Amino acid sequence: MEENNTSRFIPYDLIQKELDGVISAEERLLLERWLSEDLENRKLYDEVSMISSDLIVLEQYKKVDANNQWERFKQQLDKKTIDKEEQKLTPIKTIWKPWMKLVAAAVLLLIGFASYLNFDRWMGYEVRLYGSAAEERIILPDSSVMILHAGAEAVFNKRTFDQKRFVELKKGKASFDVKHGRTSPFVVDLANNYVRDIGTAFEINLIAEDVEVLVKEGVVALSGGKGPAAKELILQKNEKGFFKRETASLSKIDLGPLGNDHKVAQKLSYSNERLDNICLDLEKRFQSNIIVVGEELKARKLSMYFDGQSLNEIVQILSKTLNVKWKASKKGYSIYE
Amino acid sequence: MSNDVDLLKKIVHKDRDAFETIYKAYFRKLYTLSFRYVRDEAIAEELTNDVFMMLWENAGKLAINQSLGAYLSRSVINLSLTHLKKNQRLLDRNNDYIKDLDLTDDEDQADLAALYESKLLMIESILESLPPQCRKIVLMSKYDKMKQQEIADQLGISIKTVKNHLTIAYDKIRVALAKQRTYLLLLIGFLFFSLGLFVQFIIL
Repeated sequence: MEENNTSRFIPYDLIQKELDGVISAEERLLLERWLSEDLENRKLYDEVSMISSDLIVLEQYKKVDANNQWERFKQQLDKKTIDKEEQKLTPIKTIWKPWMKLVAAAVLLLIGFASYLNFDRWMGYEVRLYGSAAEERIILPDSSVMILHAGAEAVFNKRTFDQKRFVELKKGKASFDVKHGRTSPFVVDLANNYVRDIGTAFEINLIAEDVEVLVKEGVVALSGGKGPAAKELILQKNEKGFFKRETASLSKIDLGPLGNDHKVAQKLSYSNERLDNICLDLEKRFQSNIIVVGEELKARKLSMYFDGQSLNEIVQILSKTLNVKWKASKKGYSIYE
Repeated sequence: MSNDVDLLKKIVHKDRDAFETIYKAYFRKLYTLSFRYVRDEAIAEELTNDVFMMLWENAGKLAINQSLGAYLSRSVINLSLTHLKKNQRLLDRNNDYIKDLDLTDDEDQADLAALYESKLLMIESILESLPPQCRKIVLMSKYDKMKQQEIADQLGISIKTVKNHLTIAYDKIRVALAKQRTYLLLLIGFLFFSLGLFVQFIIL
């Protein structure tokens, strides 16, 4: 094998020149001719080329100082280790800036508070009911009956209802027939006050922010506010209580026995109208007599709005508004000073 | 190799001394191997250090099926080739060097860096054995990048003498490497033959 390798002519100097890139055109021609002479020559060329390359690498190999390299690499390694540690710490530093902690605490507090407030709703304990034109009877957990008129909205908590019979009337008109024999009172909570049942059946009508309570049976307490210190107005059967939010005042009128002549007016509106004209209109509508005593009283002007009240109620409201007296007789009503 | 395994276990536990030992034992070989491909000192150094950094950071996750030397060699070759592929210019320039090392048949399992190192050391020893004038001419040609005429002028000899010296040097190296390859093949053949005899002896 050695003989084969050595016996063959190899133009080392040309190959070296070719590898160094300094070969002339004439020399390249000679080299190519040599390469084309025999396939083996290509192999020899590659061998010499490899040796030439290895000689360059050998120079590099001898230059390497592993100790020196380690010292340099060690610094790189230390830096990387520190960077990594910083990277581990950085997120904590960046994320938990003091103000962020405060924000996080506030958010948590808010979530907690919202959860506390909405616990019953989110857990499905809060029952929200809406009235319909059909005015269906709603049986509450204590067997009391609630009728919501069209447009009314009420809420109660079925989880706590046995301990605390609270119905929150949000808007509209509702009638209640309360089941008795329970230790806890039945309270209808309103926006600014409440109605506490003492007797049996009553009706609540929320008109704007004012409240009207009509007691049909038993006794009801209408409050002038909220809390234990709130003033209460006791309403008996056939009495209607009023709560005016603007003045936080309580008043009541006696509707008397609700007989056949208990007719209600639907939406009556008077704007800056004389009292005698109002009474004339009411006489026509209710087929009754209303006598206004005194010219001065007749001439007093009023702006009134009635919706669903009986004549008895309207007369009482007019009297109270004008701060005059009224009287009912078989012939009709009299309003006088 | 068993020593490498012990050291590797220590590296998993972030033992700096063990890592230093491995680094110093392998750096020169791996750097040289990388340089063979990329032909750039700084890049070869960077790629070699990348391999060591990877070893330091991921020692616990590495599944090394061969020797550590073989694993590191393969890693540095792969990184070097990847680097070349990313840099088309370098790839074109170094295309001739990206040939197989042709050091062994089983390049995946062999410690190529160690084999290549032994080849370089052999070339070095051949250079050392050359007559002083001949060695000087090779060194001037290869390391000082001098043209043949320049060497002739500097040494006060004819260009033909320079060519003759280069021929002698290359020829010696080429023949020695061919011899080594032959011995290696003979050794492998002998080992297989012995193994066959041994098996036959056992069976009979």
